[in-house]
Amino acid sequence: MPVSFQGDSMLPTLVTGDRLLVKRTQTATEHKRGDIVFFRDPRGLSDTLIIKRIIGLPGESVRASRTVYINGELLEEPYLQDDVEKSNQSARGVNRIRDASYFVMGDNRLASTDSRDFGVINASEILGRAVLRYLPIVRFTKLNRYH
Amino acid sequence: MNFSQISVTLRRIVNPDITLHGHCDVPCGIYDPKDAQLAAETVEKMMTLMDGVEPTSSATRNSLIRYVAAKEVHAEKVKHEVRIIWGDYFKPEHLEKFPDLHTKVWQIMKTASACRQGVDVADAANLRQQVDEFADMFWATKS
Repeated sequence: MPVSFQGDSMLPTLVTGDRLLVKRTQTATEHKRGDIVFFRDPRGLSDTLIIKRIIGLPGESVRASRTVYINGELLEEPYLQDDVEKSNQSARGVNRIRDASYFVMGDNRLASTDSRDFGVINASEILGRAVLRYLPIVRFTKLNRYH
Repeated sequence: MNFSQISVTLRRIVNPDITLHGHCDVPCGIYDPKDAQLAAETVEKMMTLMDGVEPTSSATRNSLIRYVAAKEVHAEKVKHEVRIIWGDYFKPEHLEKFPDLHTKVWQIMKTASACRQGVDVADAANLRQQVDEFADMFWATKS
């Protein structure tokens, strides 16, 4: 299913105007870390469809600021901007992600409203996963774990 | 697939019906400190105008009351706008860059209250400067 992307919070991976191919997923789908998924605003503020990257998996502990620690270990994230500081001050997170839930974040850590703000999201809330970007042609690419 | 169907399909590929948002409560331009700056300027302007009024007639008393009312409303508006940006926009990571952010907001709250309570133009000038500094912090985090 083709969709448009809008916003700053997934920079540098996604840019406003990008056209993506997304795949609807079933409720029981197990998502992988790094998957870019979309869901409705979990706060119920609007019907806006939000797209974020899965960072924390069920059962894991997450401490997240600009960088992320999973179960106490720094998560390597090659998709982030180069100038992200290796700092974990003022981190937010959860001690244990409950079953069938995910901790999601935008790649642009300073400009993203995500699980640091609205908490983990249930697997049942995830509507699908971004598969590839087809426009602009020069940035055609698969959107996999470590795009 | 006929020509019409191909045309519709191509249109949907180029201009999809669905938009996914890389959502942020903020940087999509929703927040802007200019309203707080404008309100602070208004407070200063009202205080300046009040200084020059001799309430010797109904007309001048009416003007004075209007200036006071505007000062009251806009000083409160400064507090409201600053609180929104402070509470909803700024993230803990921004404090690494501006560790005095909380102090700055606290000062603005106090100065705006002083502007409501009193008529000292120096308080209004101070409020405007503090709000400008707060706005500078905001824009620095977005650059």
